[in-house]
Amino acid sequence: MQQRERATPAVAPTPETSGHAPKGGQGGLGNQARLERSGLAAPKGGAAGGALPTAGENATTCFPYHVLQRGADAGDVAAQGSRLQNVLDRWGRIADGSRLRLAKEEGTPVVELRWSPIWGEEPRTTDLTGTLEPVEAKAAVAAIEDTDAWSDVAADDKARLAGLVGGETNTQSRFARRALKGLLDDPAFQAAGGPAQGARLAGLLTSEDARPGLVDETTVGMTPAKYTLAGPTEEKDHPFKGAKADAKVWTMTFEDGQSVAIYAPASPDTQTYAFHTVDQVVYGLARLPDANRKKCRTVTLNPRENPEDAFWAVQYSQPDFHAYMTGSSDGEVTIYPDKGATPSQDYMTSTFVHETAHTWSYRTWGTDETKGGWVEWKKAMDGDKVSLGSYAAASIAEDVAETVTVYGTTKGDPRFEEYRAMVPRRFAILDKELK
Amino acid sequence: MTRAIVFEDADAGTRTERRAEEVPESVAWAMRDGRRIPVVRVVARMRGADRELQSFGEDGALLATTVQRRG
Repeated sequence: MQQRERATPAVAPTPETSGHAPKGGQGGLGNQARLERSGLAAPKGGAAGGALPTAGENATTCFPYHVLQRGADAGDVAAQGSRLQNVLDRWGRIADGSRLRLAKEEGTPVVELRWSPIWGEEPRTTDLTGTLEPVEAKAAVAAIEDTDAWSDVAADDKARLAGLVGGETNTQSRFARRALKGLLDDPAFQAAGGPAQGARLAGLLTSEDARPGLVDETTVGMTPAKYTLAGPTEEKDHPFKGAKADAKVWTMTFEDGQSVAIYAPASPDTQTYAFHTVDQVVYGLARLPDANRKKCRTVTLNPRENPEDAFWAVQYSQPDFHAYMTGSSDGEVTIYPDKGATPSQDYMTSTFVHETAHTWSYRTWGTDETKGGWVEWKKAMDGDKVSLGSYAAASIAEDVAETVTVYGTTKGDPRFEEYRAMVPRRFAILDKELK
Repeated sequence: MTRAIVFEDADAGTRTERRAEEVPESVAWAMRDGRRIPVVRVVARMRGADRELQSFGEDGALLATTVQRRG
């Protein structure tokens, strides 16, 4: 059997974030290398056996195993076989129970799977204990390639479609697979001829059904920039939004020499409001793409709500209008406290990236969206066809901001390359612009 | 001459116009490169569960953004 080498993440998770990474990680050979060829017997009449190396083989040999369950016993092999079969059945793939067996990983009994080429390309993800989405992804690509219409789809569209439905770990691919399944099961699609089917398959690239409203990826895999943090110092009567108050001031200085000042109230009213911490601001700032960060001069944790809230409440007929964050083209970001709980770090970081992406794009490419860098971006949009979430499709400015957000929040983990497969032209621009 | 600010709701496709002096100064004006710049257009659009407001100047420059958190 051919030994496949899996892609290793471009940047390893930092110690700061590695505690969140799933055991066994995504990709790389480390997980396989740790799999011991155990002496555990296959269950009688069970699924393990012939297709796998025997227990006596060299324990250091690497085989492309995937782990379906840890802490397993012999009875779990059949249960995991059923779990696998359910997924493969959805995409017309034939399950093969002989691909499963009980083994040991670092002394822990596990149900392991050896991938069959008839299910499609082998997933990069080795840890399948939490979800079989990686299996679903590859089976979906195989299913789409099996359609009569595949030969009627343009080569570039094929690559985008495979990237769209074949992503193992990202949010958008899950939506795309759901839309693809609906299409493949549609009698009208099945009855259509090759060219008509091909057009409908290609239509998935731009379909609202094949993307989330907003791509909302966790930011825990983001690689932080290197920085030093100085402070706090005290500042009397700092002009916060809506009121003067004493402030504590930190200075975050990055490796490239840029500094960002962080202001927080010296005596926050914690009885009334919930505040983000300075640590959370530092975490978010350290994860901004460099180009975004360079447009950022100050971040302020305001001691009270945005004084403009009352106006917006009337303007939008929303009595409880609450501004979470404001940003100015001068690079000043203000975060307002909440009377309930503050949102998550993920939310803050991705909002940070999105809003500073607006500042970066207008400052870099100018205000006329029909000139300069905007033209190159528009060409890339037309070539890629896929939009990362429906919000990106609202305008070219939002497409830039959302694509930068996805680029910035996934860089350093496998989702990054999955999104690149969907929007390669835009990611190529950002490779140059955000380096 | 009285300056007007156009408020666009991109989702509803509606536009309303208000005189600059009717709105708070911090909405009607924005700082750019250390100068006070008049806001002439505010575009609101839902972003997931949130609403994003963008304030633009006469030359089309994005001057300020506001994220309304809902829920």
